[in-house]
Amino acid sequence: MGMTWSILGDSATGTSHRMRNTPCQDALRFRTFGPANEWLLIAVADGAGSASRSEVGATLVCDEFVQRVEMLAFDELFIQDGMLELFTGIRNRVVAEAERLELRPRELACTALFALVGPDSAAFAQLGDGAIVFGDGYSYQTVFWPEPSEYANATDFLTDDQFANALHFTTRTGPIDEIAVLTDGLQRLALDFTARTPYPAFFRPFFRRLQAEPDSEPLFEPFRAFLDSHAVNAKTDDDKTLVLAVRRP
Amino acid sequence: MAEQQPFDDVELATNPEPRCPCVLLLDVSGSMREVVRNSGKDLGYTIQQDGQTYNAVSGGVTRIDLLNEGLRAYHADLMSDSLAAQRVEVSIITFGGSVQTVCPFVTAHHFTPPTLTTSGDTPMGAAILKAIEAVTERKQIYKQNGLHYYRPWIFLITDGAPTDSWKEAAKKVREGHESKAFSFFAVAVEVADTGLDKLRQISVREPLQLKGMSFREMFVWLSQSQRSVSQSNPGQEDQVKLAAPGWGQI
Repeated sequence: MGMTWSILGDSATGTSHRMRNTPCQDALRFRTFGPANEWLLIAVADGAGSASRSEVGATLVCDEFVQRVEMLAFDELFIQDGMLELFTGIRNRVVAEAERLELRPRELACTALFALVGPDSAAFAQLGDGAIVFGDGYSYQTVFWPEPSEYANATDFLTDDQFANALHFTTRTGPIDEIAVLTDGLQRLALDFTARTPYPAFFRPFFRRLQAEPDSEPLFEPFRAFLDSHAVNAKTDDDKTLVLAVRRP
Repeated sequence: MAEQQPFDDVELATNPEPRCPCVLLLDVSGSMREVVRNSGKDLGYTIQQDGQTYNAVSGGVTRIDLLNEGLRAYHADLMSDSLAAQRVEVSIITFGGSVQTVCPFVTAHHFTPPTLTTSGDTPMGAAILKAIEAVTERKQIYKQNGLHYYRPWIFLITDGAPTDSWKEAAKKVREGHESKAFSFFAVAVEVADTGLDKLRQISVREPLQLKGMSFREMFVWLSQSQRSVSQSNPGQEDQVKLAAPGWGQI
């Protein structure tokens, strides 16, 4: 019977950020809800590299997702208007924080990725780049394919005036037992842009390992080491965030 | 023996690196042969060059020497960053007497800094049009090959004013700026006020004036700016956000 979530997640500062002495501008939060912790929420945000305090925006967005979802009836998040309301509320909070800091809202610019997975259904929303990936042990798919705008470093942010037009939302029915959320720093390592699919050899070892271990705790250090490994840093100089979760007996 | 780590078997996808195309649009007109450092003795006669009269001197370091040195510094700095070396694509177009593509687009990796020589007048208008054509074509090639790319740069360096018609070029620069088709920068090297006025009409961004003869610092700054190009930008915003250059002034 009881299935529970086993989760690994962390961010690592990109080498270019280290070189410029800027902080890691990615943020992540995850938590489980429900009587048997059968619901999983993952929130990830990537602060704009060109914004001065985007790490503040990204962290605030993730915290707000967790706090607000806790107070909500999940049903509301399975309809577009409910999700838009959640994003709008969080955006207003970010704008208010910018005012408090006497900054323009764009200085707190960040993307926002949101996944809420229950026993038989899931709701997803994404604003800006990054990817949400789910799988069944063999094949994997992205919830939204991260379509670049013309330029590789341009994306949409929650602080944009027209953010509502850029919000992608969808729901799924049926169980999801493997899910990952990542920021654009890992996009080109975890997705195959020719085939337009997740790169299975990236995700499979992670999910298998998480499935095999009764406790994810001992995996955390090796996971951190992977995110900051030479192999990864040779291919990306950006901040990188990865959250992986599997449902296991 | 190294212990097997849990995630040693994770493989990384191989996607081509996104490209950052940059045209260096360089003035190689006769005036770039002016000696600016360590000049030798006055030879007692004058030379007519590029509409100006110069005293002939023996030896010394010319502007074109410093420009060539700057190109080597640019290349070296890009090469010190393995991602930038794969991402930044450089093309050199010169104008001096005629407009020439000295080097078509290549990744910094495959770029060999040329040693430029000077000749003739300053057909800047035609050179700008050629640079715009080059970045437009390059973007087409990226699209055909499914390559992601950053907004192209056109980086103009001049010590004079156009000697050809430049109104069409100014219009195209403005259009490109507005449609975000490319970012255009103009650097003036000891340009007289009348020339600066023309540059201001060509470049939407205020032309930067090179302080002293710090070509080297300018090129290292250019490389550093391109190395940080992967920083994400709001798509709706126009500004390429750059560190304040220490080598120039507005």
